[in-house]
Amino acid sequence: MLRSSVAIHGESIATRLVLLFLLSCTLEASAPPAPQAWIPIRWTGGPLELAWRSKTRTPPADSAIRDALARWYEPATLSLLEGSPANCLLVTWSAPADPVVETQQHQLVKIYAEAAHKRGLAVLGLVYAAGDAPKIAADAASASLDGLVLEGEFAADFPASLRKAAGSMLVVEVAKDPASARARRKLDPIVAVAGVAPSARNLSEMGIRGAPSSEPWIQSNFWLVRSLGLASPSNAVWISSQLENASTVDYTRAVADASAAGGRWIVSFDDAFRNKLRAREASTLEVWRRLSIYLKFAESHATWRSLAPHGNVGIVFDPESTKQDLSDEYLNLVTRRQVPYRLVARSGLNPASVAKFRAVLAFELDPPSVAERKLLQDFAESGGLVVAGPTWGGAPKTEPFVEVPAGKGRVVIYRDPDPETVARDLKELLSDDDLGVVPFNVPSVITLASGGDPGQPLLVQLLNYFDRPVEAITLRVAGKFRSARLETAEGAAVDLPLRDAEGKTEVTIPKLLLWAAVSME
Amino acid sequence: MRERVTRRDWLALSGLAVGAMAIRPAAAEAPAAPAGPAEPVSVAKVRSYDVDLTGQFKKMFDQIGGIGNQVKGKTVGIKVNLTGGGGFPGYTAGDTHWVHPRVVGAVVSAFGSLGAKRIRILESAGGRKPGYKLEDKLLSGGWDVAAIRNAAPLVEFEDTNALGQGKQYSLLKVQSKPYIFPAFHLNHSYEDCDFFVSLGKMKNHEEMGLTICIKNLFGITPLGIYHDREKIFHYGQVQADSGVPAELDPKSNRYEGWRLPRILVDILGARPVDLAIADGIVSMVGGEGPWVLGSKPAHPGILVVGKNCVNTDAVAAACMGYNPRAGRSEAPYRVFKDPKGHPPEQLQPGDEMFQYADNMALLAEAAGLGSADLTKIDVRGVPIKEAMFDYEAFWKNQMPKEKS
Repeated sequence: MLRSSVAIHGESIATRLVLLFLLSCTLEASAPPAPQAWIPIRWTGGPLELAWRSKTRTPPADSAIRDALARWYEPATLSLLEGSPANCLLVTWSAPADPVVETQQHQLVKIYAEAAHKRGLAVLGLVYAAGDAPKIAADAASASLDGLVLEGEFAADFPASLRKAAGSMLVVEVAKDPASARARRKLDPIVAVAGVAPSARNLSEMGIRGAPSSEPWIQSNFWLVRSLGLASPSNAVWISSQLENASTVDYTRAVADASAAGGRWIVSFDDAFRNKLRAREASTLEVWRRLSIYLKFAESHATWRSLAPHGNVGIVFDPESTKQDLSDEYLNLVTRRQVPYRLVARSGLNPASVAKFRAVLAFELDPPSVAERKLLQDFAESGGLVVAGPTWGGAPKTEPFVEVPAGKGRVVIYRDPDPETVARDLKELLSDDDLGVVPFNVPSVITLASGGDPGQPLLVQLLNYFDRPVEAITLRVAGKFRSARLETAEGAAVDLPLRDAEGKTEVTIPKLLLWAAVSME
Repeated sequence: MRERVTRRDWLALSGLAVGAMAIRPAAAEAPAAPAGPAEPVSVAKVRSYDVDLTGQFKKMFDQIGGIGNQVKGKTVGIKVNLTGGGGFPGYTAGDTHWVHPRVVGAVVSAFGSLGAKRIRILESAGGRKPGYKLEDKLLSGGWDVAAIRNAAPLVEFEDTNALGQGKQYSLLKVQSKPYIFPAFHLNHSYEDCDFFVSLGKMKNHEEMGLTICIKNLFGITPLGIYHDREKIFHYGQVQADSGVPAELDPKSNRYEGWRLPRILVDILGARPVDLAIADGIVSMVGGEGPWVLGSKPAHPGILVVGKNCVNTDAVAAACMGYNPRAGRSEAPYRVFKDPKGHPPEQLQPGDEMFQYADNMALLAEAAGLGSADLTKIDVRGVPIKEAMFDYEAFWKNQMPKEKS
């Protein structure tokens, strides 16, 4: 069925290829950006995409949508990118299919990629399943693709085979989990990982009885991007999550969620949206325009990515840990509880590395070595707070934790720590001075503090995961500041009045729609 | 056999002249009505928090006979109802399950203009966090704390979960006949005030059926003394520390639906309320906070103000469409408690989801703290039948199906 469909369109495809070629000749060539600057967008289509969808039993039900995808690599779709910062197209490249279909796809993509390159766009080929690695790589080189992206289920040795065959061509592998992504950080300049569709819901809306202290359930990639970025600052971090029936705010939140933490969301539209986009339906173009505003906002503040995290809580992190799921959950939930933290590698633990903290979370030291224990005991005795698990020793028998004085500081030892409880308790174990940055009225918001070193502004980004705005958010920040400037994607920057709060500084953000940043100097 | 007035009867009767009604206690557990004090209660329909609430309160204070003489030159303590966080989509905590900050600001402003020397906003808010203040809790609800602070010449905030500005806890004895506790240790602010206000929200409550101004007082018990209110007060699983007034009969019924309403009356007896204000402009039905499954926001548009807390709660309950003399087998005191949120022994019998709470207003009436009998209360302002917002009708479809 699909083959006959492609054959019916064969003549028109050839005609379109010629037109595309002529069009591409008229455009002035410009060099694609470097991989670190790529802003990815999923731009799948062509006969191979439909064949793969058919094979995986996910074909678009609507004939108009099928037609839109089949004709996606007509030249006109490139003009949809005008005015958008998206500069890296992820196109359908390799999947098990009839060789004729694959050849047609490669011909289409080759010409489309040439046209895209002339517009200064990078083009990466999506590989959905294992195949003949040398051929996949050779064909991609022949089509002048800028790289390949593996996204799907692969035999264990296939990615390595493809990397070898690809030679200097970039290969990006979309990891299924954070641990796999961390393992690849030394291989690729781009670390890509499967993420979630960012959102927030009240527990009661999910049929869960909460407690008075319960907070909304937030799904976010924020912590994930941050942890990958902290583990490998030189890598670009991409989040792959595909939204279905998404609203404008869903799309913009996906951009903001990855970008605020220093990464990039692989912009992904659902099929129905793309059909309307191709037809240039006004409301769909407006969604695309608004999404592009957020992409531009993110890229115009690219320097924020280079700011070091700000936080007085150090979380000992061990990339070699066998309990990375648990470690990730600590990062996720401590982020959700608005505790500003920095990571400190277990291998980098020394007196200087912990001296900058007020508290150290040491659950990764399970158990601590003699040297690690002495280091953290000294840290506590000089006034710090150490939070540790039962292998520290002296855990209580019935209470959740015990607080043991140690010199000027204390050690808190949990009997049976779990990330949710520890994250919640941290807010009570630490004073506002310890936390450094304390936001109020933020149940649906995640905040990220960065910068703030001497001579450097302190930046606090806030991201709202509810669809509705949040009003009257207060930030209380340790120290004195002269100014606070609020920047958002939606409007012009404004100065916020400062208030003195017993030696600390407070500002109020009148309304947070989605993403805002307060820069304090 | 006592005459039983059902909720349907109550709703029908409320359309009649309430002065002609004589509603008797509904359930066998409900005590007979003694001649408790009855003061005027003012009811108003107020559509939103954007109106001139200060002017509204001054008018209502006048309707109940004025409070200027009691307030002028005095220290006023206002116990506000805050409870837990979270929110319904499109609503702030102050809209649905806390008192609204504009109500607080307006009340403060009104007291200020009446010449109050000092106004203290009181609530037990903090946990273990070092340096935590009540203002932090208010900020977490998006309140403009500075605006409230500036609404009168001297406004203070005190977290009464601990000693606060005091050097020791005050011992306040129950002045009425105590049910469970003879006295309580409380933050000094509840003793060091000349005029005490309970500023509650008109809501349903998962365990107690209703929470208005009497139930609001539960939060005056300090965690610094009582550590765990559920264990000590709700369930009676543990006794308070040595030196803290002990309950009269540690072997009495441990079921919270029996126990807690009586404790609430004891608290009211220990710290009598001089002015009760019930905020029902916007509220919620089906529970005291958004964490209660099936609860949802509502817009009753009601304010109720009275000098007697029991009278005020009775009138407020009537404005919510409930029979203020309802017994434990009637709405709102026949309650659904989520088994996941309660100890098994608190579900009586264990396989039943539907439980009961005793009517705290009737218990307070029996203790001589005020009448819950609408025939004895002079309701001023808007008649109850015109103010009424039927909480149960708005909520009933959310209730689980009762076992046949």
